[in-house]
Amino acid sequence: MDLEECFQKGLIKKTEIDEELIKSLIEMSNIKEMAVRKAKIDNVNISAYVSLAYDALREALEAICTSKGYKVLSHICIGELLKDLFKNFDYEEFDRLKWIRNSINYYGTKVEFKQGKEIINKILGMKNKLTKKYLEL
Amino acid sequence: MLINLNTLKLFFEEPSKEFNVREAARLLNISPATASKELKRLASESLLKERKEKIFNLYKANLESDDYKDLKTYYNIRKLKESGLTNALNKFYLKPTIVLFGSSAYGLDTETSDFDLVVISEKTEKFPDIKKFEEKVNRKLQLLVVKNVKELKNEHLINNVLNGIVMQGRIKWI
Repeated sequence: MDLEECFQKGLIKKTEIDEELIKSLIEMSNIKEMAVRKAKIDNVNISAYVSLAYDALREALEAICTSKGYKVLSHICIGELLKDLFKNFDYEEFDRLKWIRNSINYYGTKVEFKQGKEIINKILGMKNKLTKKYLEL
Repeated sequence: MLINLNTLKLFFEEPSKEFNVREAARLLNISPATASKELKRLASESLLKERKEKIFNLYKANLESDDYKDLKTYYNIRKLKESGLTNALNKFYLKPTIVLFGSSAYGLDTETSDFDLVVISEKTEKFPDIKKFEEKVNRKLQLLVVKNVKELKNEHLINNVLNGIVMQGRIKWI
């Protein structure tokens, strides 16, 4: 699905910039990040924490979209919009992380512990880098 | 340029071999008249080399043609993807970056060439199903698995990879 289709299907809507919503999305994103960072992650639960880390990233990205006056209802469209808004947005990396999260959530893929830890670091690294870069907090 | 890749498949699979019209017709399951017309057309577009030996017209891949090399590269990528290799690598390495490099990335590979691939992922364990896919693509697969392209160390190899075809994902240097 490309950006045009996202707009056509109403999955991206132009809205007013809602500072309260931005704040609340960032708070929730940080809560999820903390939950991942403080968790006792093991071989069994690692996949669930990769998915939770991705949720933290997604909420941070939603906050960035909101700060630019867009309400985005699909994470496919978040990537398409950010790719369009920011020339340096690492779309390929985000797309891969989305693919991994979908594999876990929809196809029961189990991530191995060592790789999962590195993926979590990549996800949270991306979240913090983009929040710092695109949100004046 | 409207090209029928089905005819060229013969030459992509065996770039060093010369085929006469009857042999090509038999392998492609088409009439000799159709094969003759098609091979002549591909030769006229410089995708094949044509030469006459006694009463036979012989055809082989034209490895000097840029159009041939472009189509061969595309064929190699499709062949690897259609074998299911990309999907299997996605499952095992979680959608890694995949780069095809070496002769097969330039369309210069022959029937004895390997498919050289670099897989970039956090996981660097050896891919367990390599034999299965070697049988499917009828070629040897050289799979280098690294976390970062810089880990390849050898400058020549790194340059080869950087000049390869990124089949999936992106190569990151920084």
